Amino acid sequence: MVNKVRYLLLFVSSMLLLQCNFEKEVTIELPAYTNTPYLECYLEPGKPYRLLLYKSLGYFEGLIPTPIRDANITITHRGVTIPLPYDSIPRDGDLRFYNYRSNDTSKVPTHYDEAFDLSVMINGVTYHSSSTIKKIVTIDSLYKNCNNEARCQLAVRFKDQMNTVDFYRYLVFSDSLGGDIKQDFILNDELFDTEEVGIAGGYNFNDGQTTVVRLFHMTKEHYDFLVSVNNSQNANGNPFAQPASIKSNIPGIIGIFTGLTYDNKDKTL
Amino acid sequence: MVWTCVCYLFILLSQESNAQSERIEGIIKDHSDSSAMIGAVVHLRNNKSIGTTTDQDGHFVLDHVASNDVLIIENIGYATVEIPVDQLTPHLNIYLKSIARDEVIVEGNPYKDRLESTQMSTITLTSKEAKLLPALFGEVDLLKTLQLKPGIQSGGEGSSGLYVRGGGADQNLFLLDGITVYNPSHLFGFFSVFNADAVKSITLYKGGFPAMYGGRLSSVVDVHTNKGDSSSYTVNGGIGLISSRLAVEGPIVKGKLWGTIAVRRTYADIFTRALNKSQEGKPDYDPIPDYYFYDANLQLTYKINNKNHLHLTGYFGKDVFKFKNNNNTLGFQWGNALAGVSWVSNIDSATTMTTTLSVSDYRYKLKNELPSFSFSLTSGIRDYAASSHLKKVYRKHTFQTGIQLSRYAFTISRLQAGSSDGKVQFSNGTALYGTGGGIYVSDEFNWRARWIINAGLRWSWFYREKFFQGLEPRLQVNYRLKERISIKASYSRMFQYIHLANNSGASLPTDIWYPSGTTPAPQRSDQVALGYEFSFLGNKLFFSNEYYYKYMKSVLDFRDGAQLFVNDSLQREFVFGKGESYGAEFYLEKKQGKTTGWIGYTLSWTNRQFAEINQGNWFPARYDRRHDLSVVVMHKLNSRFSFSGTFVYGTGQAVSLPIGRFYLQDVDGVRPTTVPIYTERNAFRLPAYHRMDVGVVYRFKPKWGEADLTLSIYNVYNRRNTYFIYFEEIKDENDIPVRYVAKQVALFPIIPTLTFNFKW
Repeated sequence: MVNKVRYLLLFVSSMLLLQCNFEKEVTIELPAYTNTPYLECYLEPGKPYRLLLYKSLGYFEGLIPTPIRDANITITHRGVTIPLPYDSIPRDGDLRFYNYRSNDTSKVPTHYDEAFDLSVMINGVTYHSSSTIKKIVTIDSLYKNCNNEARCQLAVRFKDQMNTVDFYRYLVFSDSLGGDIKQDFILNDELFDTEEVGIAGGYNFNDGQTTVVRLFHMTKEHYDFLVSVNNSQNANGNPFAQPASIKSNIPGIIGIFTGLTYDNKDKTL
Repeated sequence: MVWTCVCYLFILLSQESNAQSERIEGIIKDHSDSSAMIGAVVHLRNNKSIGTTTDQDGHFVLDHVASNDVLIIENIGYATVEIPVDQLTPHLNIYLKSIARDEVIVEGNPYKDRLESTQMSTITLTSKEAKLLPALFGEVDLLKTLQLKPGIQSGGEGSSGLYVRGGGADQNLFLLDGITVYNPSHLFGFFSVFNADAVKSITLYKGGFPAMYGGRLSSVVDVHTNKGDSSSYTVNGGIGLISSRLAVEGPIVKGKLWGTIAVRRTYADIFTRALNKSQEGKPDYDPIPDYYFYDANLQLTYKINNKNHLHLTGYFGKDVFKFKNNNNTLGFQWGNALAGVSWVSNIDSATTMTTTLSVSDYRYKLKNELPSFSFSLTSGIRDYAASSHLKKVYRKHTFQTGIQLSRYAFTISRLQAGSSDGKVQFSNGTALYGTGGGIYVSDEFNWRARWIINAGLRWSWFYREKFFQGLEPRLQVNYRLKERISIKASYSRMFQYIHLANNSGASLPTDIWYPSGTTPAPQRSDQVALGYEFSFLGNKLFFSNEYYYKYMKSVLDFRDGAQLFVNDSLQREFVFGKGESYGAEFYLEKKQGKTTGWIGYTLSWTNRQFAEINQGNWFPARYDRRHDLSVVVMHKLNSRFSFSGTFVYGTGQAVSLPIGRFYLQDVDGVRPTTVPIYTERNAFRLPAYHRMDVGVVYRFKPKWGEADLTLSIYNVYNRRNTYFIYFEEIKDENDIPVRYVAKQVALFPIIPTLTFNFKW
């Protein structure tokens, strides 16, 4: 009888051991990948024209992407064409890395809803794109709500134009700009019935914590690009997600060329 | 062992008198509820070469019957009926006491009816057969058993979703006693809503569709419920690993009103709630969400007189997911509710009319409440339907005609949200309505000695924004090459006017039905099939081989990255294209003897083409499966022990994997993220899927009734079948990527389960 119990326990424990290890590393042979150029350019009023251009990588290729050094790049606005030569030296205050930029005297003007045209020539092939800068939408107020565990949620209120289709991004940084991003929402105003809009997230903050909220008023192409990036990232790892390709607004190149405007407000919770 | 319960056969027989040799024709019904008895074996005592099985209407025909022979009718679980042929009279009623199913010995040719029928591409499965096979978590699931037949694939590991001859999960029509079921799944598709205790049989049509069916491109799954016993009470039940079930049937007014009720419920939530309570207050403990599902089936039959019955069918099922902590209350519920009443009138032994009124509703509701903010999201479909079908057997003709009408109401992503102070409110959502229907006529008749032809025509229509209509010709031909060999061919056209927004291999509760209109247009399929079938080795074995080609027009898919959740403008996410599926199916079956089972093999191709996807090039559908093999064996060792085993093998699913990547700096530039680049749709294959399950049933012999202990071992050799593959970025301690790897995820390891079943 003791033996029978022992065998039964052995069987049960074997079964339990076999339940483990649902996930394992495997080798996948991917087909050869053509390293399509990748470009990221944000037109920020008052800042020089600048962008990042490099070759995208095969999925299991090396870690460091190869910059494209010999591209001929210009941005045209109100008939004025500004060249962006290769220049990868970082400047003070740069949050992003750029390898093409205009001279420091050529700044992006505050011309809302007017066309900026991009031309990129790589190995004799020219790629074009066009975008605008959206008017800043200001943050009306920030308010907090804390629970009995001293965890707080933060909500932002702003006014949405009722007669236009607008796209927003809402980032909440912990402590200061450049701190941890605690919340990141991308949304369009199709959901909103009222002019006054409120967005609230979860209880991600400690009572007394300092936060900075940045509200972007985005172009449609920027919104579409970010949504496709999210979808593409979600499709990798989610068996129920729809496969997604990146929605670039530069035909022939992966990437985004867009204006960038935002309003900041900080709040200590 | 004789059951203490009593079941009866109600047999309506008619005969065409002929001195020495005559034709016997009739309908066999379960006396308890007057429901048609499908698959009953009808044969003769002396002339063993003559025999058949009843069709889905309980109908049979025997030719060349000698007047001095004895007619024998057998069915598992019912008493064998023996009637001298010369004593047969029209409208003969016979009441018999049943015996235990173990004691039934089936003789004759159980395949004769199939060989004589024009119907091809059809599978009939009884609940009793399904209960003999091993099951995941011990939950007998008829839809999963259907997946073991050729031409039918699952959506993935453990899923009860059906992909029939290259059709999508949205292209199956599920009918419960003629009432449409819009989401046939519990627990994200791992279990079907059809409780094996409540179901008598399922017939699945994958081609050669009878004219009475329409509305979906790829299959019709016609589920017939158990109507209950009119004279005595029976209690069925089972206690399993994840759920328990109970079914009670019997008379309410003896001989006049009877019925059955079957319920089941999972109970993992009872344990998780207890665990959550015991850990309450611990700072690092995250409560486990509650999850359970339940369903209830109700059947009532009212006997107006010997020729007229009213049947009431009801189903209510719900999946409930709840999560609550200090800050957040999340509730997610989904389920079907349907009800219908049918008037079945046996005008005479050769004429039956069935008229049904029904309503079917499916919806899900997601609700989230925060202290100062809340939202709820609802989607669903409701249909009100009326139908009437008439069947008349006259000489060598079987006429059928009918009319169907449905009114649909769709709720598309109705979102309501706002702050508790009422200052911020927003809402979203669309309500759509449509009306559709169909009229059909068909005739099955013998032409010359060897030909049987079933020709039908269906006219279907749908109205929302625009009026759509189409003619759907149906043709099935059987050429009896020899008594035991038939060659069959069929052609069917089907229209589908409502569409399911589903883009995964799983049946998700958030899948939304959407009607045709200005967009999307109705889908259409044309299918041809050719095959042959024969019985051999003294009718011990049956073999069939079918070849099919299906072309689909205006099939739906979704643009890359489509947002199907919280989207009331789904029409903007649809893309329209074409599809084709073709292949060969091989099926070998043994129905008699101590060892029974089947082997099914399918070789197939399924492709899609959309202008907006994959640069407009053809690509394999997710469920394109080159090879699909299933082996099912059941062996009855003695009156106490029986064993069963299944083995399945299938080519891996077609999937999309990224082949490139880039770093997105994004607007803050502080934390670049890796973004995968997808190119070709479904260009990769998961590893081949294979699995073996085994089951052992030990039958007790209690004085009070029947009981058994069923051991099911799912995935007995613990194969790690790939559910999906993803690519992972491996980072160092400074959060810097150091390498990229591919990982595969498996779902179910070996799972042994014990289930106790009883019948009293």
